[in-house]
Amino acid sequence: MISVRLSSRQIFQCSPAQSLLRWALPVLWMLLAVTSVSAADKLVLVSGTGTTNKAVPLSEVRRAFLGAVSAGGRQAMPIRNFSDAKAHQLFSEQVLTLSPSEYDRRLAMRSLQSGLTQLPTIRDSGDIERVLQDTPNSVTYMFESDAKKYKSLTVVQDLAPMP
Amino acid sequence: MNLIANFVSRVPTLLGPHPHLPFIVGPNLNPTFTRTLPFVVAAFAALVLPTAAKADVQALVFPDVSYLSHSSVAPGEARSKSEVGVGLFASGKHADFVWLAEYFKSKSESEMERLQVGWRFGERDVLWLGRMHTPIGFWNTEYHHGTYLQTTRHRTQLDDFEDENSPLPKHFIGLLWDGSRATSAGGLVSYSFAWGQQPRWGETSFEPRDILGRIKTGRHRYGGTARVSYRADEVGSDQAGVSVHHFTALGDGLPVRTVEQTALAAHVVKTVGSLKLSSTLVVAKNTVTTAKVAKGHFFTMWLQAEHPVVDKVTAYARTERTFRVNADPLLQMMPGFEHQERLVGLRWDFATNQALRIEFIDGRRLNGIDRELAINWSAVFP
Repeated sequence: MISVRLSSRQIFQCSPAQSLLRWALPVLWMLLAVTSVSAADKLVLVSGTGTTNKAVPLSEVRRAFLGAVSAGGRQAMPIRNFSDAKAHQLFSEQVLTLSPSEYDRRLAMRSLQSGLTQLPTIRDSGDIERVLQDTPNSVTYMFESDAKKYKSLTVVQDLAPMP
Repeated sequence: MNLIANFVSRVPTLLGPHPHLPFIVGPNLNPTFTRTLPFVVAAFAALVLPTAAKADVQALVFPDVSYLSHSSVAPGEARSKSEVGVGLFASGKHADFVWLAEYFKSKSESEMERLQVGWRFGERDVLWLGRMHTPIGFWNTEYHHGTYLQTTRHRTQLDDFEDENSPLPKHFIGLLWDGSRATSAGGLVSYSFAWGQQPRWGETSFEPRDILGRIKTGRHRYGGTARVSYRADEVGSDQAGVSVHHFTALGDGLPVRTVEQTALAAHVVKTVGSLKLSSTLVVAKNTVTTAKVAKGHFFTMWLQAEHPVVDKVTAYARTERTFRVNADPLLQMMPGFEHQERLVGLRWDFATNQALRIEFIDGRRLNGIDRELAINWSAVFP
């Protein structure tokens, strides 16, 4: 019977190339994992295919979704997406820097003052494609992973990563 | 304006009598109201239906339920009571026209607070006609009757409504030019110019005209208000502004004949980190004419602070103080006016568009001290 006895020093002793590979592989694996998670959970602004919405600064997105009047020229029609509560909360907090409740209060105050109707909303994910296609120049927000499920939608720009 | 008033006053006689509606009851019921109401409803329906057909109309409901406990009450009054109120708001637009209506109903009140039609000219200007809120300060035109929208349950004494002992008028019937101009830095300069029929003087408070003609208040005089404000962020809440107001209220001559008032107000709302501060300062000069003429003026200032303490819970406090109460002839006629008020409370936004508040108020009147504990639920639907 042949027995092989290796000391701990022998086990951890290896060439520099082997050592690099030993550490690089787990690090590379972790990097890939992190990258793939954040890519799946990114909030994006989408519009119906065929519209000419272009990427704009986040401050302009915020102004539009808080009901600012456009200062000349065409303005995208913002549509609030309530079909995904998590996306709506992230949009309110990260892009508008308001809680969802505070956001609703702001829009209600605007209605009370100006009489203008509130922004259109989507409550059922099954309506997203139809509403965006039927409303000229409309935009809404959702997670990028969800946007990929709709062939008729175009991602206009990134809004916020998943925290 | 007189031509329009004369026309409106004659139309009901052509419509004939109509049965009283169940909710329209009260000691001061104007008999012409039942004839006026169908005309108003028909005119309003003519505005609403075209916009409703295009689905460009919205409705908001603001329910508000409070339990109030007072430390001191007048003889015969209950120490604790509940208050239930509901505000109904509707608006719509059609081409360049926009309309809105705001109605408030509670156990003691049933009033069409606002009923106005606007013509939009340009991107940011609207000319309104109807019964509206006076654009003095910012509270009155920021929150209107939507209790849920304001952080506190209780309005400031200065910004409260006429029947809650406010020394400033809050409603008028006439014209309002509302507009704004964007600045190159992303800010907004807003302006409002209002002119129309002002409230009368009742026994101890101002009394605005009831647009439905249900409450007969007699003749009203005209007056005007102008306001300019600036927001560094067009869609933010921070702002600063000034407003000026002048009007004369007619009395019944027993003994007050007229109350003439000129008021200057400055307001500021500023957010510092998570702390939101708001404040208003008013200087009002009053001339009360009875058998003789009495002149005086008062200063009022309030400061409110709000700060989130934990998720969905906001703590707030406010202090309000009026100076020269004894030297002003108008405030001397208002025993219910609180010249000093301190308020603390907590607001919990426990569900979407619903909030619970617990609030304690310490108020000092000319005739005593009133401490009130309020527990309140308010909401906006949908």
